[in-house]
Amino acid sequence: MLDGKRLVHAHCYRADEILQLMRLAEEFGFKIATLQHVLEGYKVADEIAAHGAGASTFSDWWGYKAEAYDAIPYNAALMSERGVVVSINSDSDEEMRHLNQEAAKAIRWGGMDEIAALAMVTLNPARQLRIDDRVGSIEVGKDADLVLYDGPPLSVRSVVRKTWIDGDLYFDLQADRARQKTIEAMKARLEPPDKPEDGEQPASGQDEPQSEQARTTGLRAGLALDDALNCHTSHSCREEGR
Amino acid sequence: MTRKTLLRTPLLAALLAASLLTTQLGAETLVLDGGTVHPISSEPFVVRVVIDGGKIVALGPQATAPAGSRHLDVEGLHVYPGMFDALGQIGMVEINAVSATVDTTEMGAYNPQLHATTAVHPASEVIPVTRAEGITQAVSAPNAGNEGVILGQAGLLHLSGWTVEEMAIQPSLAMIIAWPEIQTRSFDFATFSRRDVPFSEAEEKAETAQNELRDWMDAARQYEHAVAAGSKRLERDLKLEAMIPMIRGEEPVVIMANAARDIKAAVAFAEQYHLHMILGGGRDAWKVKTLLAEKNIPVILGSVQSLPEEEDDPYDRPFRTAGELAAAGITVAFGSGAGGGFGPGGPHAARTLPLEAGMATAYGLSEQEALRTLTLNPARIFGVDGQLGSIEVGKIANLVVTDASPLGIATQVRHVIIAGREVSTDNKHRALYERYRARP
Repeated sequence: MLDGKRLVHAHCYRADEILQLMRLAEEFGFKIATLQHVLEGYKVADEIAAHGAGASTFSDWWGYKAEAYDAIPYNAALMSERGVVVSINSDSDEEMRHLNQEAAKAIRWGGMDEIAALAMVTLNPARQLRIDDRVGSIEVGKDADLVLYDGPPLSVRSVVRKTWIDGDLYFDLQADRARQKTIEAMKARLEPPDKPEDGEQPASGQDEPQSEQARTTGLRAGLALDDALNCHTSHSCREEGR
Repeated sequence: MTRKTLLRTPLLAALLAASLLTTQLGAETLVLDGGTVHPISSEPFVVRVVIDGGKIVALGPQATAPAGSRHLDVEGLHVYPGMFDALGQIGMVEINAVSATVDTTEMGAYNPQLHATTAVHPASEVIPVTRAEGITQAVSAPNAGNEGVILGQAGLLHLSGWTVEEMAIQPSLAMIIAWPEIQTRSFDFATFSRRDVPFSEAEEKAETAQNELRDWMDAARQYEHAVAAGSKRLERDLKLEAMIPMIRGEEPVVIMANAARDIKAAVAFAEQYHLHMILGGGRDAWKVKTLLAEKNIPVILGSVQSLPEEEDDPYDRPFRTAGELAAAGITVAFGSGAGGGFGPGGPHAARTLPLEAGMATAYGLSEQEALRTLTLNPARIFGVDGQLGSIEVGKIANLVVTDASPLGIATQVRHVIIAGREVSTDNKHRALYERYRARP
């Protein structure tokens, strides 16, 4: 780390601690590669740019703890304007599913242009991780990590149709829908529809363990099916010779 | 509710002064000219909304502008009804992790007498941040905490006003019940780990709590009979008295439940006591949509953007729920506090409810219906559609003027009108942005 061979990505929130960390690094002769979360980065954007650190922030979370009380949704746009390489992170296994929309929020709050917003979830994080020679943009020689949307990628209405990683198709909406239909049919067979309601009492407890059991069985069957179907769409089965 | 210390900073004071100055313009006669008006209750039309005394008094190309009225040029812009946060804790939470700034929960499990709006802090920074995105009114409701069952009464508030009295549209809008759910899994924050309990144990715990709830309902029913019969020996009980409008079916009750088995049990409970039920949360509502449609029970959903519950659910299960419920004929709305999930969210995220409804349009919800989930649907659900939810003569003039559909991410809100007055869209976030953007 001190030799500059190990990149430092540092978790931080407030402007004072951001400044403190950068000065500490400078004292020891190394740089912070990327400041993570960096919610008050907009207050010290010039200092971050001068230090040469990147910033990886949330789009619009605020107020959940004291050090997030001055978080503003303009943070990404403001840091970008001051010359910081900015990316948007999720810190959440849910929010990562729509990072394209999170990036788009910098258009609403801060007037960022569309290409710059998209770069915050493509090329900029690649630059921050020093892997932009391999990923982050569509160029000859780069890894074929691609996504096919049915509309503009920064719209709330756009849905992912296909995703490729290293040139292999990992997600196909049509295949996924077909797979879900099969799972639904299987679950319907294993878990018969509810008996007519008597209108008074909640479902009797005695029935529950049975339906839990049925659900688990259905789940296993579904997962087995998942493996089988993946073999037609993903490279992992081919590699494993399944 | 206990009154807690709320943060006071010079910035807050300055912002307040700035934003409330605009609020204080007084009832004005305002004419919106030149834009496309989207009434929601009918087809869009071009030009002219006339507002006087806080209400919409005339609409359409032929509407005449009274002498002395202020003209607001909205040429090229779009006028929509102001949007709802249909269930949440706006004004009751400043910083989630700082307990002194959170006033959402009362001690004890049964507090039907409680009015959540008494805990609302009109100077909360969340209010101007939220209204700047076109949300003009919010249902502020108590939260369950660890033990709450009958949580108290939610109120409907304008997101503008010097005091909570000025903000109040209806201080007593609905009773809130947290259905005692069968919870086999719980998250222990002390050890940051999941705890599983056997089903039989979880069920017994839930049934005990449900029986206690039924005892309260029976007591309230008897109390109501005694009151109706004019009993002179009746000792006044403020808790039971507060339950009378709900028992009579005059006041709606939001029952918070998520798992299908709990929703079904809550519906049976509401039937037993002839309650006017609204389902809050409703994570699994799609599984019981036939039942909900048949019983005419509306649903206030939490976040569209959440993870599927079951391992074998489709990846987009929560994205589709609103569309599937609407297609089944169920009236759907969204509330920032209806999800009850872990992590950032709640009142601070109320401003993005329109974007989440927008996302649902990619998964089966029509654009028209998505707009209704934010406007006319919550108004109907709570029985205030005579006053709010659409742009019609006689309704309260809560309006938002945008440059495009409120469902789009890049859309900009240009004007916000609350109770017939144009209110400031300045807020803490914009002030910080402008201050630091101007840093030399």
